[in-house]
Amino acid sequence: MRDYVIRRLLQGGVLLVVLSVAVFILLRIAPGADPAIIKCGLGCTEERLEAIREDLGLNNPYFPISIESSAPVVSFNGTNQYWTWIQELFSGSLGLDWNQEPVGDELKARLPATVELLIITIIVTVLLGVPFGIISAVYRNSPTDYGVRLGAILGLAIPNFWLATLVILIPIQMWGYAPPLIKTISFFDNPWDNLRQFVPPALVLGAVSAAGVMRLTRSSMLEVMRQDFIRTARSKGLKERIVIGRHALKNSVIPVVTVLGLQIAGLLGGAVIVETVFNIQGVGFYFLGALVRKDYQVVQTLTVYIGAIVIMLNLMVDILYAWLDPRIRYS
Amino acid sequence: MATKSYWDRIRRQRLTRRKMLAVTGVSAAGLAIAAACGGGDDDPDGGATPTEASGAPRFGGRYTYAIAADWGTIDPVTSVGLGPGIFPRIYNVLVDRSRLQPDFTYFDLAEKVEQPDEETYLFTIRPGVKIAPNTLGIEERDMDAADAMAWFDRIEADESALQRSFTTQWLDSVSAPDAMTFELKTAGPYAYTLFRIGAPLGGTMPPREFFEQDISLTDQGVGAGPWAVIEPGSYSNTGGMVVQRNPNYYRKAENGDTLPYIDTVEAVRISDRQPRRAAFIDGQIDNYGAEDREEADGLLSENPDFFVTENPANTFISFTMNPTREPWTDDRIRKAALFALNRQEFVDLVVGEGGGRPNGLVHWPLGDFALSPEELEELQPYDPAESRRLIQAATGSDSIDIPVIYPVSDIQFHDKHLPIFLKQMADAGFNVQEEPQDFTTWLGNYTTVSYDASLSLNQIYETAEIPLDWHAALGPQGDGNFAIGIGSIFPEVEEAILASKRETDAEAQIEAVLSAQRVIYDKGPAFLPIMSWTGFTMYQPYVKNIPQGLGGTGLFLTNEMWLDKA
Repeated sequence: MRDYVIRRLLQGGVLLVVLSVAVFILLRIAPGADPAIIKCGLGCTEERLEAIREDLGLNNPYFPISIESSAPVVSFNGTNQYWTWIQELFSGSLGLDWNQEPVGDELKARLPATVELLIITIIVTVLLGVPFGIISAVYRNSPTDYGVRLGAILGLAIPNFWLATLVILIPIQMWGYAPPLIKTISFFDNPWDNLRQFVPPALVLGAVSAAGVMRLTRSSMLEVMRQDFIRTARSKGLKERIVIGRHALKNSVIPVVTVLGLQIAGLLGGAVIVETVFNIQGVGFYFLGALVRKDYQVVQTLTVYIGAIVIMLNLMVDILYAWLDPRIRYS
Repeated sequence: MATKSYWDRIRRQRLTRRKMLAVTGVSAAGLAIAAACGGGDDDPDGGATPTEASGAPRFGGRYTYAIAADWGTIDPVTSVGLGPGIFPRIYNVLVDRSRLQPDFTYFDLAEKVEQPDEETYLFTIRPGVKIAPNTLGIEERDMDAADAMAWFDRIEADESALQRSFTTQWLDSVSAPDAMTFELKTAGPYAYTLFRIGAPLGGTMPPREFFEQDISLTDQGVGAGPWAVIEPGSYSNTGGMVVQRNPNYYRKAENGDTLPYIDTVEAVRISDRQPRRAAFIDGQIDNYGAEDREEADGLLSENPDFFVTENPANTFISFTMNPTREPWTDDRIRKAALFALNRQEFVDLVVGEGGGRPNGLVHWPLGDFALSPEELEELQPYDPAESRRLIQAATGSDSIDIPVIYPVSDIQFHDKHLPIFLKQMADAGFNVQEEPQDFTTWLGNYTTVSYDASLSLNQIYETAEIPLDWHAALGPQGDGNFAIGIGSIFPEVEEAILASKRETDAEAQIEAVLSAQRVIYDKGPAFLPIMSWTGFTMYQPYVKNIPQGLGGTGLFLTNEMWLDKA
């Protein structure tokens, strides 16, 4: 197991390097003006544009090595954008954003909101997805099953930005109610208002992921319930509740755990939209603003960090998988 | 039938959800391309009088409004976009002449202005304009002429200062003969001097310590205005801002107590329109900019106690041609475009009856400076047959291909304009080759005039100067950026525009502005404002004494607003 973990960590490192190069290049070749032009605005002069480019380091070569068509064919660049950024990735500040604020400080301030949103979303996902998956499997091909499956398909099909808008619009139009929208409220300052603020977006995000979990739980349960040991349990005269709860569910939950782990990455993506609609000043909100203004430092840094989180989650899921099912061995 | 159902579809689209996306981008000299109202809803404006304020004014309370975008910076010398909405609450101007009611001048740091001749302005500094308590180490002292001098020094030193287009083109000299007198001389008579130096955009003046001690203005703000960013951490350039009353503020209420009435003003960041609307209905924010009359009426039907102001918005979307590129070098083709646009149809389909009016070269919200509807009917009639005839005369064919760039944006009404524009141009013989671009790319191309033609975003001008300058050789900023002016081709256009700026007599200036428009029409304008609309700002019933009818100048009077609630 130890060798496996080390190998996976090394592979993850290589993947992150590839990811960092890819996002670095993609941001710069994407159509549109560079951030200096955006920052400079309409009253921009050549001198000011140049000063901003200098401040943002955009005048430096991209990579440590440049390849030219004329001699010298290969040249080495002491100061270059990529290496500067990589060094900043490992510094506490994570470099400066478009507003010359340390990216690390912004993330530190915003991370608790996003983490809380994701935790509540996972709870919603499990509370909705797993029980409905079980119900759907137990009552297979019944109207209940069809109803649950229809709900799951709707959950997967409805875009979360639209659902988020509805979740704000319907209560305000019908009952004059809105969740707190003007600022992000800490759980420790005001738990009730905090939950009023975070539960609706978590329901929106959770609706999508719960739909996936429900479908997986259902198919996994159905597969397990066809196994011999379930038939044995029933033939021993165990109650159906115990057969499902103690024997079937335990064995069918393994792939669900895998999917839940992977869904966190997807939820981070969904948080970008949902945080904006619900005005939660989290990492997703920050990321979207950075994308709009082409803030290289923020977009690059967050992409690589999210990539690292996904890699770590994958690894943790694999380890958890082996722990849940002792038959699984990594070599 | 097919045409009818097409327009029916457009009409129905008007009812769908409309979003206002705030973007940065207001430039020097009042040139602005931004979300309507700069992304914020808090823009006192509108009718001719303050809202009815029943009962005695009350002191205290917290006034909350929403902003839709990043501040970016709150340096008043350079900040565009949202900053001008908050600067009049923090800093002072010498004076500000209302661009909507030119007979109203707000005297702030200067209590008097004298003009010994057309080019000299002598400002008498008001005693007792005292800086707010602060944590920046700036002394709580009275502002004086040295502060004005330091402000002009900063403008001189900073390429990005918003007032540079004024100082480089029109300023001759500034001096401070004594601490309580500030003298400004212009390089020749200039009709817009008092409009320019006091505008919320680039005209507010921080204490000189910021410049002398190199204290950053980008994320903190203290002056001698009614409020100040007093507590550290009460501003975030991607979030909100809280300003608190300046106990040293010089203006007094009728009972002799120090203004402002409201203790705290908070700007909160809500990017999306729907949550902004929900927050308003729920009472979390105190005002909301409705998209149009229909939405305002809907909100009023839900709560008849909401107060709504109706304001002509100094905002429009324009069609811009590059007269240095074919086919727009030919004045017949430019005139063909002039006659191709049915501006009334834009009004009807985008904002509905009573929601706006067609524009001439100077937009109708500027009142007397705009040509009358009757004259516009003669100068820019909707006549697609004439457009085709002109195209035929210029090219030998009754239709022509034209590449048109435009930003992909859901900024207010822009998405509604596009299909109408395409249909009307096609009817008039222009085969538009669409070149949609992301906002930043479009902005770069628009700035450097790297395009043949453009359907352009909301542009906000509070005086007739900039709409006319679009036709001048050096463009709306006077520095060559955005310059598509036919003034570089026709000296009479250049002369007429200059004459409209040099005429300082109010009546004569209006006539000069009207005359300049007629000259431009004759030569085939390359910049066509399409229509402007009416803005509807909703307020909670307890918000009283909202300054109205003064344009941006009204922001300097928000210290007289009060909240009728416990």
